Amino acid sequence: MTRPTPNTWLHLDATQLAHEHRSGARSVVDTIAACCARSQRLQPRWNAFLALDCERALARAHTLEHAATRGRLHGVPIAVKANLAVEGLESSCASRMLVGWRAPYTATAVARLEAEGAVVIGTTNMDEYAMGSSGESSAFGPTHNPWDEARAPGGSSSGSAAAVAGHLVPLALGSDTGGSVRQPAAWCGLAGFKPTWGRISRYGLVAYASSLDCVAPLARSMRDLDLALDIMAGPDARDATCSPTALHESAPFKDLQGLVLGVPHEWRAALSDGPSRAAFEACVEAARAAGARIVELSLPLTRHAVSCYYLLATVEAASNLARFDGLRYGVRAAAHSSSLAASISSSRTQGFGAEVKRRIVLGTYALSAGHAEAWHTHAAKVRTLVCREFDEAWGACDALLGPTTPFPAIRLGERSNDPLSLYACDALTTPVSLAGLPAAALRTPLVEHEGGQLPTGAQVVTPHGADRLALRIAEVLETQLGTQALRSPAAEVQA
Amino acid sequence: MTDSHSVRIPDLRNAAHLARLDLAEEEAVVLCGEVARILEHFAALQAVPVAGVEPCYTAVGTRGLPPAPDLREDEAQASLPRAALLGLAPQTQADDEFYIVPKAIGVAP
Amino acid sequence: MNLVRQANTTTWLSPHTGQVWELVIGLEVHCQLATRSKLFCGCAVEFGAAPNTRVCAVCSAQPGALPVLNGEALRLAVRAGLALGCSIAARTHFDRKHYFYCDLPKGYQISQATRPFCTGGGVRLRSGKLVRLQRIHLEEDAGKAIHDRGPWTLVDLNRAGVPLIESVTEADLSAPEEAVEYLTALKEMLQHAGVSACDMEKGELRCDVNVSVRKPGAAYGTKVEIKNLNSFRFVAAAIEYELQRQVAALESGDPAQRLVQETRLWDTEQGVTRSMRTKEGAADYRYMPEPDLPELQLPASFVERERSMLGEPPAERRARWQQQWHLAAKDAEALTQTRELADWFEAAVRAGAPPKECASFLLNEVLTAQPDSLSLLLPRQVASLVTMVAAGEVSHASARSVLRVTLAEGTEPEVVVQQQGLRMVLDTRQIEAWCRQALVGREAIIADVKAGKAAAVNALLGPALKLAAGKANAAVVRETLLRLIAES
Repeated sequence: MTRPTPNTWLHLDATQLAHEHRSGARSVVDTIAACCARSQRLQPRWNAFLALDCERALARAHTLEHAATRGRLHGVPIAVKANLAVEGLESSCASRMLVGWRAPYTATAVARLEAEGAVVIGTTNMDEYAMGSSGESSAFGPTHNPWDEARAPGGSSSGSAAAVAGHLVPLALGSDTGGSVRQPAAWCGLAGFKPTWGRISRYGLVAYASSLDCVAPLARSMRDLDLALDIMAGPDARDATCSPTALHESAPFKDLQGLVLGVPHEWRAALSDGPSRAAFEACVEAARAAGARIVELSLPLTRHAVSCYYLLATVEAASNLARFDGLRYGVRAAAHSSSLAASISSSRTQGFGAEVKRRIVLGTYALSAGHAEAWHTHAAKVRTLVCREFDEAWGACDALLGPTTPFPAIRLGERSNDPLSLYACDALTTPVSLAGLPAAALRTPLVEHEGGQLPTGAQVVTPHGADRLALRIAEVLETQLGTQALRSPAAEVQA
Repeated sequence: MTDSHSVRIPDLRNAAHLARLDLAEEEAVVLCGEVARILEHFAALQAVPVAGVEPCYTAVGTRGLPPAPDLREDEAQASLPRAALLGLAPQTQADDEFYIVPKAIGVAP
Repeated sequence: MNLVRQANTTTWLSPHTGQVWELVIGLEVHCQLATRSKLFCGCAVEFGAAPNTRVCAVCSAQPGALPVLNGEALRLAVRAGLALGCSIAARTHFDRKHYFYCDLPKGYQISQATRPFCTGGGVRLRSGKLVRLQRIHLEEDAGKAIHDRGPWTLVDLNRAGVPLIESVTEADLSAPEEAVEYLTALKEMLQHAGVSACDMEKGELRCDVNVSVRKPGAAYGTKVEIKNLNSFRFVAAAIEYELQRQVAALESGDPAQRLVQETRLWDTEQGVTRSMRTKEGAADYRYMPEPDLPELQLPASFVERERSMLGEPPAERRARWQQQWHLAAKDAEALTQTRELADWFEAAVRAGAPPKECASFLLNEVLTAQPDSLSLLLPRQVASLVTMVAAGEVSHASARSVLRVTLAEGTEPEVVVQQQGLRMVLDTRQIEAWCRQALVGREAIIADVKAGKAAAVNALLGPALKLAAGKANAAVVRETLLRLIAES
């Protein structure tokens, strides 16, 4: 059998790569070594990683090479967002506050992938504490989009998206709270998946907004996402909100016969430019061609989703970030150590970036005495209504189909001075987050945009617990569109 | 109802203080101004009628996937080794038994 | 200025102004639940463990860690609520209470604000007054901060996350001794229900007092919270001190002494309360529901199971013992010091021991023999010994030595009595024979007794008992001697 050339591993998805490792057709050590070398050499270009530990990865690769048990992700290199704990690796959440923190334990989701043979090569760049939609809120510089290096890859899982889109790893973990995996999936031409909230354990995911946070994978094939979901999902004694409800088993769909897909007209209307609209219509057409019945429906609360989401998320964020005081871990401000109160304030003021501070102030205000009722409680009631709106939608369709973002990848610096305009990137992902629903982000056709070709994405949203259904539908749509084989120009970039 | 939706800068500065953010004057002005603008934009949410609606703080249980039914057994498990725990702290002391932090004035609220 | 307590009332008279004053007192008691592990993680609860050796990712609030509720803590909490006559909520949830301090790792405490697991209930004092409970809720304890050891504050997180219940009374108490009575009864009920050992020296029971004064019939005055009270004695002393301080301030009319709503600390050494450094305004805890813990359902079956574990309330038990078994109140109190002792005593009585004698024997002999006597004996063994003494079969002195042997070797009391030949002689003829012998050559004493000095016979008791080798009942011997003297 001819030995595959070292670089072709770049084009394989995780499922195939694992298969080749297991059968011995490919060496785990070779793959990991090549992966690490490529990641290191391209790091200055895209700034995808915050911490790369090639020594650790290679040691693990050697162990796996001779291991008797060969898991479903045997020898597959993966990248993990820097807000996920990996014992021994630095997970700084892209914050000056947490520089140098090496978790004393590993997040359950990561541990489960490792138990199936995955090799974590490093932690990836992100918006600080997962607060952002472009990657520009990192304390360590933004990540660049491998499709167009002057553009943002999306956020907050910016580094994980770039790592997969740049063919550094076939599979990466991010987190999706208001769209932080689905949106970069769209901007980087990837397949991404947000599970039902409570489907995958959050133990080890540094909390941003607890009732919205989901560990979420990014890959270049739907079957990889399905595999990752299957491995990670399931009850965890360390997470009281993680559900024991099993995933439905199902084989891939041949087509979408018998299925009804709802397209909310508010979601369609959010698309701001012609090419994006055309790309989405192509997706709707593909659904029809695959045999689905398309119905138009209305989700009027869509226009309030961003406000509702940000009010609730920032309240929880301010709470979750209260533990960062420079006392037990992280960075303690050097001067001003004269008193406890001053030390805490200095550490926090110096350690947090501007966007994080904005959200903390917003979230603290919205929960403070005299204001909580009008802001926080009110937003929580609107959340109930958003959930009800989706509940009613399921009476008319099996799944919802919509674009993921109103526009393709923005240029770095384009919106970084205008928080509200960045929040607008989440207009289509936040309603789904509020309701805790699963959503599969699929690749739709490339569009011409500002003189170049950029990826776009759509999302398939299904009822609570119907995670697999969303992936199955997304898979058929990609096949119909021919986007499952989409590759960024970076695939050809030699390290 | 209108009063509680108008955002006053002193309230935002108080929020920053509550959150232990000690902003320099210039930064405070800019940041609170930005937050005020954001909140004014979000104020449109107030138009959504919510009479008789219960607030929803979590997507599990009453809606969504049911959580695990069993409570944790009351069994003592191994703790983290002290060296590993204190090793994460920004400042440590020779005998390494305690966390050391700047002196607190007064006691906890 | 010293206020004068008006007899048989809960009012005080100010000699200065002739004004009568009342106290309004509420108590917040934190009680540590008797669990093996912490409330939200598996770290061991262990008083006196080396600093920071019972800490994990969860209770040190490492990024990404999550709380998971200890089922036993919930069960004990419900049991406490039932013991105090509260209503248990069908659904309850946890809330986050936010503030920054070095002993609170997450920057918030997981507690309960809007829907505590129980409400209502109360404690009835001996006077008949009902001290109502507002609520009881579950929450986690903070760690320990040490300020007086060197230039830094030292923090030990062993205690962070330990399960507590906080019980809050209505402002129904009116006097220091009422507060002490309430606390004593509360402690006893919680101990007997198996909820907590309530050992104040280990900090398992802590009390904060809210106190204000007012003229009878007037509106509530400014309330002051007093913390750092670690004995019931100090609770009473602090209330007394506040009474004097607050009335003096109000009566002086001096604006500098105006009362403010504040927290004060009890200074044990000086016997005064001191104001804490003032903070700007009241704390805004910004409560919000805890998103990491699902809402809890407490079905009737769950509650009823805890009710079945409660046992008889100690006050009712004492009343029953006094009524049914004619136990002295003092003995009943002593035997209900702990649930274990009370259960042990009842088991002995059920095994056949006469109650009063058993009570006395337990308290005066068994518990004083050695600290762990109860764990070395069985109730039926004590029952057997007490029964023998009551029947006059064994002398009290002999019983004491039998007890020692059983404690040391585990031999059954009857066997010891047998082996050591300690059985008393009950045969009246034998006793008479000994007495006759003792009377030989004692004409002087006989004459004295006949002359009317009955007490003179006591001199013959010793010799007579010696002849009996201690196996005759002293009272019976005395009776017999007197009878023989009379008959002679």
